[in-house]
Amino acid sequence: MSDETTPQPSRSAESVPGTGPGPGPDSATPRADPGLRGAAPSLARMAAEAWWNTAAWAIGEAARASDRALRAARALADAAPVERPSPRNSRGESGGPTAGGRHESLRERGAELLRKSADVHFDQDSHPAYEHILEDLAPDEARIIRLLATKGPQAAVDVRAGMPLASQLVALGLTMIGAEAGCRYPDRIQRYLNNLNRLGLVWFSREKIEDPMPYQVLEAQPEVKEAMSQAGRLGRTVRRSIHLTPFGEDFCSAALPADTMEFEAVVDVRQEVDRD
Amino acid sequence: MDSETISLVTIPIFTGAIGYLTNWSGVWMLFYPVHFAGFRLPGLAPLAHVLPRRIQQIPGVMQGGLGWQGIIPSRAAKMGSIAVDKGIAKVGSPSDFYQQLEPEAIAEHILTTARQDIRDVVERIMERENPRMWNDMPPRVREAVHARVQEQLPDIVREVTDEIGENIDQLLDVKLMVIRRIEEHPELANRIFLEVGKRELRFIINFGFFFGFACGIPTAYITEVLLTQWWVLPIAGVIIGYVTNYLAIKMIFEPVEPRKVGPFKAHGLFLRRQPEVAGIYGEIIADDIVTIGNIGDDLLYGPRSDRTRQMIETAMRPAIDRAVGPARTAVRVAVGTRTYDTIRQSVATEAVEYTMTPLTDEEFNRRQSAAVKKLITARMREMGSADFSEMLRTAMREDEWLLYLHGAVLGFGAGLVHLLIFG
Repeated sequence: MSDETTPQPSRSAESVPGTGPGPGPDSATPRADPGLRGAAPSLARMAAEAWWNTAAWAIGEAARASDRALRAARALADAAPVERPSPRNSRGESGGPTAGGRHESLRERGAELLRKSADVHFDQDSHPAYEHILEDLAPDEARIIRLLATKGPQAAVDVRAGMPLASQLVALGLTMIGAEAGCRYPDRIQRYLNNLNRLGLVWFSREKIEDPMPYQVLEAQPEVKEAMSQAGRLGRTVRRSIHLTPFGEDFCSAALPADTMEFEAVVDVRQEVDRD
Repeated sequence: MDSETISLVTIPIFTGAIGYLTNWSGVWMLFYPVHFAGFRLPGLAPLAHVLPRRIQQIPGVMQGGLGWQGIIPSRAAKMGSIAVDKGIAKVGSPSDFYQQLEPEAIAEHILTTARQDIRDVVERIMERENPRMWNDMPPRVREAVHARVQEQLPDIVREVTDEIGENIDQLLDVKLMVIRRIEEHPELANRIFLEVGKRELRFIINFGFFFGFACGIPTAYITEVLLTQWWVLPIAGVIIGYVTNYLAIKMIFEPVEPRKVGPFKAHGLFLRRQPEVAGIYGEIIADDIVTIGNIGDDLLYGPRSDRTRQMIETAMRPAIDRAVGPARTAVRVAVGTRTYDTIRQSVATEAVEYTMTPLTDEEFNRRQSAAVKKLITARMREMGSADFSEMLRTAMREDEWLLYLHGAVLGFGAGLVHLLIFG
């Protein structure tokens, strides 16, 4: 129900200070205080979940390492004879697998990775990159990927000027995603999308989406119209779309509380109201 | 009279009919059908992607359908968007509208209707979270709890409406709200034009007849005297059909600025009556689009609804603490901190619905819409002619060629019919 919609924005509040060029803390202060205090339980829950995911992995790792390290290491040593120091290393690592990992050489970490991949008892719930990604996301970006996850690919247009084979680009990737997602800073949408693309969560498709309606509205937006008037008489729009990558989809289901799919929540609430 | 003469005399009547028909059906095609009517042509959908953009714009083609939807309803979403950019956004910001809707009155209304609901919410949540304690409570104590909650309500509601007012720009996207609303009810877009331009549309249809008739006289002369070829009449039909539709559109919207032509004042027909049109437009917007009910609906279910919900919940939670009052620590211990927090959270989240649903009450909406109507009407009257014209015309600008084409086709057909009858 709707209490599950809270964690999402509250995490947004949490990541504000860390995002640097993202939303300024000043502008957030008037509401941040009660918001944060109110969201504390959900924040704590989120933090705990994140911690648990790491911890579960680390504990399993340590336990397995202690009784299988030798065998696995030997197997690895056989497979890659160059990696001679690895047996000693993985034994040393069994004490504190994550802390020690930072100081190892790249090659050793690579070997460790391969060792894990060879371990038949190793399992992993979610991708280890997700944690860093969460730190790298602005609150508005979380809204954007939620939109893409719940409503599917979104329309985008490029504006080009000139004849079809010798045209110049006037404006690139204009969308309504900022408004549709309810971003706090819709004018930063290009930056957000670049970041999401950099993280591999979204991709910019050259194809158009099936439904022409979103383009109709998008092409009536002032930004597009302005670009069209810049492009002059031969200006035209090229219809494209913006999608979640499979990686992004998985990230959404792993890291964004499933219940923030507010549409289900809304349906529930509405039914309840009707019943009453 | 020989058949030659009859054929000659009937030409102006026929061209008059062409003009009347093209304009009548052109107007009809602007508005109807409200929803797409036609059939799916197998194989058209994939083909549609490679067709020229103009063809793709014909209603239904992109979905692989062959048929028609009124131009205005099929462009309703776009029209709504433009109406906001050119009109509503210039009229006022979301907070302007909110102020016009009188937050004080809204708070008052929520209070009167939500009292019973909130009581039920408390009752239900206590039953769910801690049924034993709640049932063991002496009725007097239970009533006391209710009384305390009710006592807090005015403060909570006022806090909520104030908070909404302060942050409305973040909670509400007027453009998306209008688009959503008008997409769901394309007939609203029709109403704007039908009510605004009833007289003009009538005039255009009649004008079609007179213009067609007038064109028929030289046509008759040409067909009978200058060029006695059979194909002259259908070609003339094409030209007359095209030109009548073209002139009709031009007459509605142009010239944008009033211009003196001899003793007459030339001005787009819709634009000439801007003050009246603004009034009707304002009425439709205020009564059906930017209403308290729709704002409330968007606040709770729109793309930014999570913000509203979180805000209301945050405002609610301390209020529940206040309701429990000095006994808070004791209660916390008695029911357990965890249960207490769950109860507090549940009341907060469930109350969100009840604070906003009273806003959809029709009677209340009507009362509050008067101020918005006045605001929109006043500002639209001041709007420049160019913006005003743009606002009404952009919706159909890219489909105008379709109307001209349809006139031409009808004219051609009528020419052939004349040939068939009179040879």
